[in-house]
Amino acid sequence: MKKFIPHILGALFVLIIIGAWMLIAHLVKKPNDTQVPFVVAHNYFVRNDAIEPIPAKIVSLDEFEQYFGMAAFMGKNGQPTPIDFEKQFAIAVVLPETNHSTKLHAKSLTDNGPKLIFTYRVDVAPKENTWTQVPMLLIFVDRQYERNSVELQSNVVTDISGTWQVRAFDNIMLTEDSVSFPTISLLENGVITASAGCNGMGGNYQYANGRLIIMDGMCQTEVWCENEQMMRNERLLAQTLHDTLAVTALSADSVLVQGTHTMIIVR
Amino acid sequence: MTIRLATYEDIPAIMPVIDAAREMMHGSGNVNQWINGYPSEQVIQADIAYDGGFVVTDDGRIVAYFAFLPAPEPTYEKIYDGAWLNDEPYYVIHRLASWPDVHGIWDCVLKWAFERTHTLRVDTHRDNRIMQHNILKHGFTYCGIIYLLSGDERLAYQKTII
Repeated sequence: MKKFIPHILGALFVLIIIGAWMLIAHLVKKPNDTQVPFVVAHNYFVRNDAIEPIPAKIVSLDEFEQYFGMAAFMGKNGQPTPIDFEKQFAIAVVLPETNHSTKLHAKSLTDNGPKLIFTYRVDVAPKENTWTQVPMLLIFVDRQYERNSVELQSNVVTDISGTWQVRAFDNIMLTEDSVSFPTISLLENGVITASAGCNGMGGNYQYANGRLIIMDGMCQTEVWCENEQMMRNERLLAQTLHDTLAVTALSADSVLVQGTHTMIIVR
Repeated sequence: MTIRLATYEDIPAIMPVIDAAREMMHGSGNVNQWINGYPSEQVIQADIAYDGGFVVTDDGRIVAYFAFLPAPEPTYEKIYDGAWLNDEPYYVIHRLASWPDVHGIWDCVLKWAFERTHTLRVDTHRDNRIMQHNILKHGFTYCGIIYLLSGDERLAYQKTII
């Protein structure tokens, strides 16, 4: 028996070394390096009686069915992607109803330690449709990757506060020949002010996940101004700044705002 | 078979066709579509009032009924889980019903419809497997989910011919 003791101790030593190495490797590994596999789900739709906000992370079938229905149809790819909430959970992105054809593309899912970061891209067609859609994207993820929270990242603007200039309405670029560009200021205290150079308008807003919600409408002065272009801009500005608007980034400093009209605004 | 505008005088002959189609629908397992007496005589009257009610006749006998209506269809203005193929002017076909012993109605109606429009949009219940089969067989594309005024959802399809 004694002759085996050095071998056992040796084996234990090797195991301790391997264990220590694995522990160190785990500790020094950058948590945001971990890509998490996921499945993009098809053939689901947002129920029209779903109560907003729809959470980004959904962990039970009961909860899922409050927000989504199955759009099963005959033919190729007609079956909804199956989900087993015993083994999986869902991550959902639902954008505001829009009359612009909008497609959402899943880019990546990253484990950042305390949270998962889901990155997606939003493609918005500039042409307005006569009908509206509710853009959505669903992915299913294995339970082993579940974290406390899910952060959604996209080309949707995360921080809209600041002062913006309107450079286009309904895809028609404005010029600064006779009037200055209309401005919109979104203050951090939730106050929004806007002007096309004549009257001033103001109200309150909320912003989250690409949705700019103008609360209770905007109040505005009603002075008549001689410049027709200015009045036209003002009318378009007032018509656009109400209800819920979809906000997506076009570039680092320009943003597409979609409501009754579309606006391109720049910082 | 010929297709002509329905008249109010046709209603007594149309309603039994509707009843028979409803019975067949429910008998094939699609028990949630065409319930509570839908489509009622009032609905057919409204189709006729809009010049949108049509009958298919065979040797003078009314063998099928359908509504062929121009856009906009209010319930198609919002679509979920997808998008319509395009924004072309379109017609819708609703309330297609035929006697169970008469075949080839959908072929006949589609041929007739596409002589009048380049784009058709239709919807059907998820349990209506027969209609879904017929829709897909004729080259329609599944576009998404629409909601009826009643709140029920329907599968929505579109076909555009060049």
